[in-house]
Amino acid sequence: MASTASLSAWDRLVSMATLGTQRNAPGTQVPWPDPSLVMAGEADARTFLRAAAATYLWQVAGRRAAVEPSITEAPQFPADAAQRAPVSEPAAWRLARMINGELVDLIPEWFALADSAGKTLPVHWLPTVLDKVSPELCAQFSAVLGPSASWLADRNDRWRVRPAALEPSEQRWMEGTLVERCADFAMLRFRDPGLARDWLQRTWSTDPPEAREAFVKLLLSGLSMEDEPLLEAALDDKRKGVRLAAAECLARLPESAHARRNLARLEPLFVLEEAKTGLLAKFRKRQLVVQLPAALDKAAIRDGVEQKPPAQRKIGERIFWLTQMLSMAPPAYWCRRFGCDAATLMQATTETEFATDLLGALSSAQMRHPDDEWAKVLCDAWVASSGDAQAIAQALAGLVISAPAERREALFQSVLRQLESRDFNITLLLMNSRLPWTAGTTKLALQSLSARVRGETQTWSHARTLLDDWASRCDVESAARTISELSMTCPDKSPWRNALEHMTEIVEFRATMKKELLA
Amino acid sequence: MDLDVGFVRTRTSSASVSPRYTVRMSEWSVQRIEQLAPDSASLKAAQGIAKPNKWQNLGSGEQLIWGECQGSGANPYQVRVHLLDAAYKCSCPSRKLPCKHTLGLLLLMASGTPMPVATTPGYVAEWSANRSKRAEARQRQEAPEAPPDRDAQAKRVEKREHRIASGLDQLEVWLGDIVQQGLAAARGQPPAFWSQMAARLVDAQAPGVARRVRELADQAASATRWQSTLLAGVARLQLLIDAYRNLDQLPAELAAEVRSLIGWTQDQEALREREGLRDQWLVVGRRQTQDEQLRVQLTWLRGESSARWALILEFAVGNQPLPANFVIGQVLDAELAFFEGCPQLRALERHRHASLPPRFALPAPMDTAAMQSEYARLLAQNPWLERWPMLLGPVTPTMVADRLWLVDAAHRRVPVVGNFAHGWQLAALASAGPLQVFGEWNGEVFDPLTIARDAELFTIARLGELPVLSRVA
Repeated sequence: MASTASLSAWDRLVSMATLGTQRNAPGTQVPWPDPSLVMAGEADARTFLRAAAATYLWQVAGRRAAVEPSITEAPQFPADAAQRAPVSEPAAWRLARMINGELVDLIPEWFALADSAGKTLPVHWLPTVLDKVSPELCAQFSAVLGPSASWLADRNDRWRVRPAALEPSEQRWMEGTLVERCADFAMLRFRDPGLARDWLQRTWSTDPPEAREAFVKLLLSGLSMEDEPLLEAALDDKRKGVRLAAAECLARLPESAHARRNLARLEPLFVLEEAKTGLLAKFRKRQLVVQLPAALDKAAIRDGVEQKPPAQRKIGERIFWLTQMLSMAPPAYWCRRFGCDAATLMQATTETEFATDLLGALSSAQMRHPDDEWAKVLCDAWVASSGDAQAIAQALAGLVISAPAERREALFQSVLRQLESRDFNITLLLMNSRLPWTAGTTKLALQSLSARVRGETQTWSHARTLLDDWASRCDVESAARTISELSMTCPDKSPWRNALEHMTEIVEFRATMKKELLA
Repeated sequence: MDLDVGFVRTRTSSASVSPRYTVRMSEWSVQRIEQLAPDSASLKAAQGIAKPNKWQNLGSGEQLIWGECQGSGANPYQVRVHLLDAAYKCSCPSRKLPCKHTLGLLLLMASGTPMPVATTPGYVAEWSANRSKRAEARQRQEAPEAPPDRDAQAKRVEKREHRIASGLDQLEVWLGDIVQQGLAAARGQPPAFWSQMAARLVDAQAPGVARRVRELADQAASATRWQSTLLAGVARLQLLIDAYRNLDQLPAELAAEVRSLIGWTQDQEALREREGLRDQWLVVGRRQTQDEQLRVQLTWLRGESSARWALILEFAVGNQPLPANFVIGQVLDAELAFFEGCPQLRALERHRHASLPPRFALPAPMDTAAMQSEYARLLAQNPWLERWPMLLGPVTPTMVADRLWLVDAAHRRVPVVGNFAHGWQLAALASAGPLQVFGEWNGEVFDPLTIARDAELFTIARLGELPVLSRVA
């Protein structure tokens, strides 16, 4: 057993040795752990070291940890009866591999899959994840991390499982930074649009211009006629950004005074010939007569119509004004006014000299005032148009995403199929669209890819970027079925080969990941 | 291939193999295969190859798996792997060992792909036959054809003894100077002060002592309690000099220990000749160290009925993969030959009879007090004892004063090694109850290697630089 004497003997030896035995001759004072060990003879350095060795061993052998009831164990986490099933160890390893740098972008997908499978991460993986995965993702998928994660996060300041700000706070609204205020405002606007407007009105007169601009932009969500007075007043704001944001909101309120003023300006500019009666009626199409606005008055400018077209756009001033006005009005209005269906009007538009500009304007209008009939008609018009491929793809992507959620997919599929049949490179549309890929989309994409892989011989520098993007967005099951075949039929010397192999790897990674998590 | 690695001499091909032994393919986890890969590029390539459509004539039987993989050559590459001792051969020209085809075949098997062909193809049979022939030839060689020149050998030994003795004399003077001048003065010395003495001991053919002198340099430079650590190091060296000079007065076991501490190696072939200890050995833990070009893998085994520890050392130089002969949780019916030592610890696998169902639990643990008493008992046998395998539990990892401790049920605590990166993983695991920990204890700090809780076994691992705790299954 350790006695204080032997411990201090060691300490005495250490201090003697530190200074050197030459300086404080040890003489007979060399401490030995036990009298029986004391060596007779000269007290040289050798004897000193022997005493030190014996004392050291004595001391180490005698060392015992003391009982310290004061060290309380950390309270144990109460086991939850309704715990979710844990993900398998290979699945967790895969997450660790991604955290370690392999296909990092797929981490959110891992969490989403685990969440949909109703699984949770075993506790021994939590520190690794809490350390390396962003707090936002941890917060979003706190169910996957399970209650133990909160228990751990309570014990480590660096870890966060819940989002920092949960509730909009009035105090932060009055005193916070612009970022904090925007976050609070967006959240409140989502929950209670009226109350958010009240908050905004309270600080409006003292808010700096850039804050006003940011808040008016956020009014787009939860927009209603009750916002009209505030927006109407904002049209006279000193800052252009505020004025434009307000006009954008008002343009989406068909009942507003702004909308009435806009229609009043537009009305005289369009005339659709009456339908002919008689024998030849079927063969005579109705013609659209377009008149360009002669001048732009102050009221129109106040309502958000810009005077000068952007420098890079090759468009006349007057047609530029007309397209802006047209893009604010609901397309459905014209069908009511002319008593015709959307297809007839579209057809008439195509035959005017401003066909492309009007198609663009009507598409913008459609995005502000979505309408089923017009969505279809406009998509068809773009598919049939022969303009710049990138512009067509962008417009189609915008139209699809603005369609009602339940119609989007069907619309997208029909557009893809029409493009495919016209030999249009659907890659551009897929790149522009933010729509998640379904099995159908994936199939079409891979079909078109297959044709290109076999047909193209010149190097396309974006192949790798493009296919990596496809690989992480495609529907993994349908892709996994066809992709290996695709990469096998790819000629050895094809410029697509490397990109395709990498794509295959990602798709297979995702397929295995899904299998591991849903098993 | 023989590796001559400082004071350790080892042979990469290890135990002989019983033909009746059955390997369950499930013993080859993906992790074990990954461990075999010579580098990450090979592994990546292997993952690409591990797809059924890239293979023909996949087959298995008698501990062997085989298959043909279409590569860039005209003929498919023929790959065969012996599952028991992880021997392999591929007809590809790659100089990486194992090549991507071998790894790919193993990965394919690990993923559960059926290997239906049951008739052993010619190339596999031929290889198997050659292997047995070589093994026989080796056994014949073990009875050396020409008797060694005993006189020359004795002369060499005498010469070495002489060199060692004079090296130790120099060391004793040097150590004496250190305590006379003071440890503080030694701490101020340039690195050459230590490395020159170490080099002289290497010349004196006492590499074990040289290693300890190099460690003194680290001890002198350490941040906390350096005086105490340095004095202990210096004093134990003096003790070693004394012991070596009085070797004939020491018990045989301790004498052997002292000789190996000095740097005498033991003849492994002779060791293999001796009868070993047959037991059911549980693979309990593993640690890897890297020293410049040499990587060392330490695997700890524990005998079921003998309750003895065994330490298997395996080495790899450069990019060579470490062997994967042992899997944590595996139970082996095997015969081990122990190196002489006090207490005996290091061993060779002499013969593997069978691999039994794995066990995902640790043997019964001790509490802190029992562990410390056990260490004192061992220290009394061998005063140069350093790390020793210990089973500690049930314990709860707890942070006290910015340091991780293991606290047992009696509220006694021992500190965990300072550079331990898995503290939070341990804490997380303990959130549902205390742990049993296997690790190395050096009388001061505990270095955990394997953790058990609720019939689950976890190993301290790393993925690149990322510390992870991995469940064994």
